[in-house]
Amino acid sequence: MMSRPVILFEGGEVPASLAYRAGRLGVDACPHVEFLDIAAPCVLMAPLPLLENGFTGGLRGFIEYRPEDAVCPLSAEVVEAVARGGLCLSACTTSMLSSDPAQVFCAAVRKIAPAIGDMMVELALAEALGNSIIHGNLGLQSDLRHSLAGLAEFNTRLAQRLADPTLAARRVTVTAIPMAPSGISISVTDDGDGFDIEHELKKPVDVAAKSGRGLGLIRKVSSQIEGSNDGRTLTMRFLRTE
Amino acid sequence: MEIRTFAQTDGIRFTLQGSLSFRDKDAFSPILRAANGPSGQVVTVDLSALESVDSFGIGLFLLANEQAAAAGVHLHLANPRGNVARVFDLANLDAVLHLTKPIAHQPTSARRRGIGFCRLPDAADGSPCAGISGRLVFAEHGDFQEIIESMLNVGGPRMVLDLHELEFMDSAGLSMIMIAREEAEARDMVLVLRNPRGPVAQLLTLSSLDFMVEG
Repeated sequence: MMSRPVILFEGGEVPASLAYRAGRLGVDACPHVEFLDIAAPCVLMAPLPLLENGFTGGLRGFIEYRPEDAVCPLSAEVVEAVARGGLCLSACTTSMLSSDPAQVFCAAVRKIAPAIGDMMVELALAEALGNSIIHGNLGLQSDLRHSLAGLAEFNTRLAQRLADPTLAARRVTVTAIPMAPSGISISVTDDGDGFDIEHELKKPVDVAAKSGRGLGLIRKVSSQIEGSNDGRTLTMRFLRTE
Repeated sequence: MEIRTFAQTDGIRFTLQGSLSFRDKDAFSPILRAANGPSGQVVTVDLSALESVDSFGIGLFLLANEQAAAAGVHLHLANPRGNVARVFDLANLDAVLHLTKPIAHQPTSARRRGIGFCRLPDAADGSPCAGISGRLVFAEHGDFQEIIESMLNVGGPRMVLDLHELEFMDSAGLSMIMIAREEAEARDMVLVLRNPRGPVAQLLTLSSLDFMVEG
């Protein structure tokens, strides 16, 4: 059954940009106040620290709100995911690196897809998020991570890229949509240049390789993976395994 | 008392376990060092597993607080429970110390906890042994680099990494371990992994890297 989500805005009046975007997407946005009794699934738009409370009390999604962001982060994909009984999470690159929202998201996924192995979802999501943040949004390659000295250089470049406000503000959006009878489809989308998933999967990976394992691991622990959105979205499907 | 150290992006987190008394001056010294700076650093001391504290222990917290204030360090004492919370209340320490009390329901944390590192007793052959805890993922490159450099500097026929307290690892964590392995080999050392469990053990098997596990 489809149920349009309501966007709860934390921090006073709903900004005009959010009201406009919500209207375009056919959902309501209202201030997040205590004891609000809403029958529809809710998505909280708030500063990242509020994610500490987890996906509780009917919350089906979290969108990080930063007043400095030029573009309203409410998107059709998050609305659709929640409307289909799923979950969503959207945060900027800096926040994804300095915090670990994937853990909260995985805990919520466990509730709507208890038949899927915890380890598989958490590993696949960690891999996909790492790829989206490091290679996608920050545009860093793995070739430096082949020695301790290279790792130090990699860390330096990572800090340099994060200091660029445009790169730091790039978003990663995660959605989870239940699949009948007991599976789940998880998509991770970034704002990078995209990549050719088929090409990457064909690359041979030596057992002692120091990089390039991520996609192969995702393929091992999931039932199916596919790329879309010009290589910016990776979708991983998990089916119940007896 | 047992103390563990976790590197975080904005500072250091310590967890204390057991009883803090006059016997623990040396064990407490990493907290005093951390409280001395650098300025702006966040030092969090998690007291959730601390069972008791005596007046000497309270004195150590006050000393750390004094040093932190002088050095511009943000010292937070988090989650005092049971007897420890009662002692803090009785002594009105919340007026002096920055105390963060536990919340009744603690959901899965969204805060990145970083990785912890502690030196363990050397192996029987004299090889250095260290324990890694927390979540070794793509965001921890910097901390892991420092850990491995400190291990390599010790030297020995082997370098033993105990993974028993490591909760989770992704392929970036594996990459870091493979780099450590190669750096060890360049110094005629063999990197050995010990006690992986749960998702970490599964990942090593999935990646065909379980040959590195001791035994």
